[in-house]
Amino acid sequence: MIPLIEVRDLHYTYLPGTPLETEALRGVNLVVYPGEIVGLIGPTGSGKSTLLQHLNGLLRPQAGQVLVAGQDLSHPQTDLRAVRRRVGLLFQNPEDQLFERYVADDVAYGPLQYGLPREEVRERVRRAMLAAGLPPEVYADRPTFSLSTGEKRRVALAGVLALEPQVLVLDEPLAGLDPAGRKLLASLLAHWCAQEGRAIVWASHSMDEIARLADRVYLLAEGRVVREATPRELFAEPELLAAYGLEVPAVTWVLQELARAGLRVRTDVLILEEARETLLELLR
Amino acid sequence: MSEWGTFRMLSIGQYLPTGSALHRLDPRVRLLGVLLVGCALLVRGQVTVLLLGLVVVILLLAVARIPLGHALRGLRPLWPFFLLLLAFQLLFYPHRQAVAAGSPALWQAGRFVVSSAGITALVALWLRMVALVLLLTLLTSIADATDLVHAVEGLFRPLQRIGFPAHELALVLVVALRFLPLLAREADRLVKAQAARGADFGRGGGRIVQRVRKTFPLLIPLFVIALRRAEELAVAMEARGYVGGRGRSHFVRLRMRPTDWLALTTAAALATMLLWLDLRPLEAAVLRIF
Amino acid sequence: MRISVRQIVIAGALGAIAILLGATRLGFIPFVLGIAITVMHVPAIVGAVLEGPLVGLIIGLLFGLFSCAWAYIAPTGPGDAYFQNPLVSIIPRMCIGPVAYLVYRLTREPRSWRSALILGLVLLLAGGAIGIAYGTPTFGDNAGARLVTLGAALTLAALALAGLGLTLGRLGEIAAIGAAAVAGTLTNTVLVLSAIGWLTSHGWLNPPVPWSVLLAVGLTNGIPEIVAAVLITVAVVAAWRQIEFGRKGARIFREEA
Repeated sequence: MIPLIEVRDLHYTYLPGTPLETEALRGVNLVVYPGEIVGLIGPTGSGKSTLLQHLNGLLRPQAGQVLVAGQDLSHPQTDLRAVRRRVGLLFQNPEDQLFERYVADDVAYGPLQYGLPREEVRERVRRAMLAAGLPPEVYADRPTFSLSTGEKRRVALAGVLALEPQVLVLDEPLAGLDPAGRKLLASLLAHWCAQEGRAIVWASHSMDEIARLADRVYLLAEGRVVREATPRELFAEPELLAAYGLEVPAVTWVLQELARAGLRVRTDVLILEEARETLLELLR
Repeated sequence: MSEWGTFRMLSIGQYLPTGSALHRLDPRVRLLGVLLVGCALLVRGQVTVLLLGLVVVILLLAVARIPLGHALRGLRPLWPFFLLLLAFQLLFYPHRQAVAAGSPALWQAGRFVVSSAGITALVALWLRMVALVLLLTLLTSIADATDLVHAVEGLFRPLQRIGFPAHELALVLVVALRFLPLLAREADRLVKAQAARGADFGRGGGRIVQRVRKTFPLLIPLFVIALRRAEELAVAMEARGYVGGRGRSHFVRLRMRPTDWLALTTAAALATMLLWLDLRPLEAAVLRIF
Repeated sequence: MRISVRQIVIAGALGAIAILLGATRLGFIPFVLGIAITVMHVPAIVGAVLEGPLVGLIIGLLFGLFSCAWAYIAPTGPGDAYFQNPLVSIIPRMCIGPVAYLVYRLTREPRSWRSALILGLVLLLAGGAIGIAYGTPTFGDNAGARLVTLGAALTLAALALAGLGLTLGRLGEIAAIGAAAVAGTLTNTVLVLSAIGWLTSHGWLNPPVPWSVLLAVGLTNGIPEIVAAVLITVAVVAAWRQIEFGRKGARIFREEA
């Protein structure tokens, strides 16, 4: 399978040559294949943001390579703007970036900036709003600043989806939402990713999210990839995670504690349903 | 904080806590001292006095244990501006009147004359600029933002009795200083977020309305974010019992100690000396050598 | 004059924006021929419209202090020598907010007899200024100063007339905000340039600048700056106060080319 994104031995230093020099990435390797949700976890300062910003060409690698659909971003000739149509990046609290008076106009901003014809832009806006759970008939003419945080966030998502990227890179997409909002957004994103030739890179501090949604996880610390594994493999090593100030998902922790107390339960549990199953097993 | 960073740090703004005697002074004295010496330098025009002033500033930097190299490096990005300013001064100086008043003409090209008085004024201007920049570096190195706000508020507090809202204004300053790095980060984030959507702020548009519209994705969210954060902060402050400036006690009490008074008088003395010294006879002697 | 916590904090936050706009390229909109127009005065206008003249004044003060200090710290050209003088950099900027607020309040409810009276007085003042400038020997043979006075008086008159003429209910609020932006920008431009002109003509500031140059600068920079200030102020205030105006609905879906 050809990876959608490939990162090879990526290095990046902020403000080189000044007293404030900081080495953010020290040789990071990462792959994203079509159809998967790749989780990215790590303590603050691990270089997560820096890495994310390399994936859509906001930052150019200083050493190493970042390949997006075969194109090497470290090449001076690479058209970074074109790359940003393939890889859509959504920062934390993306609802802060809305500025147009009406929802549809904000969603249309991206495609219009790329010079697409109006008719196509209208089509894309409709599709993007639907994919983001904002039916156009209801939301197109709503004033942006009168929406709730959850709705605004989905407008921001629609704005990126309107560019029809292949990969979505998300920084804490569910942070600050209420449980209903989180559930809604997570299902919308999973649904989007299930379609042909798409993938998501999902950076988060919430282990529960990662456990539930990610197919593979990269643990980043001090600018390097410390571990790459499936969630089940990764959360079976609570000591490793603790060494970097991270925890396992709540459910996993409960069962690991129960196991430590001597009960015969599975510990490779990630979600509530699995926990229930193994506890019911125990009680039989 | 990256190539997209919108805030460039100059060494002028860097606080250096070297723990020197100057750092331990009351912040009001630090501010006042620098202001006094600075004003003296602003007013005088004699080359020798300004040279002496420059020496005084360098000595002060030494007392504050600020490495001279570091301070001078802060001058480097300013060189092009200095040169431009000096060039302008050279062109606009009334050379011909000076020559008519007796100053020797040093160079002539057609109708353009360069008088000795003009050159002297130029040197004086350059010395003053360098001295003032170094003085400013000194101030920001020995006092950080909080010190300066305490100093300003402390100096204005006596005026509070006649209704001047010193405390409130100082608080505005504190809020502004806290919001600056915050908003700079948000602006950075906005630039990146909109760029991720294909925004292109660089290319010039057509008419003025279009060009202004191009800045909307940056400016409007910035204002909204700032206003929202401000409201949140105000609510938080009120929730913690903040009711206003009258009768507030302070956690940090500014009290002048003998060392502070000594430093203040020294600064005043230096400033007065610089203000009143007339080194023209010395200057004339030096000029005669040329 | 009592100032609330909310006003203090908003003044600080908007003041910080003004400083940020001045210290980075965010506050400069490139215009033709390499000239850039600034929008650093907009926070003062926004602050005045949202929270009152005191907040506007404080933001203007912060803007002015920064402008003055920046002229010393990072002079970018000979023009900075003028801004090192507080009469040029600080005092005019303190007036932006109060003037904007005044115009905002006056043009908001033009039908009230009190505001109509004030606007009428403004018209009278403008007429008087023109009369003095051209009828009496106050300005001597200083044609430039006369032109400046004429310009300022005519604009004042236009604003007053606009205020008196506003009848549309919904548009009233937005038009008032726009008028405040115009007034605020004018205050900035006119007072700053006048200060430079006045100080240099008396020799207190060098190098001297002829009034005609100041007028030219005022027109070429001032008019685009007014346009920019109106657009930004209206957009920001409408977004913050959630005021809807103009045609309802997204532009993208409207049936036009």
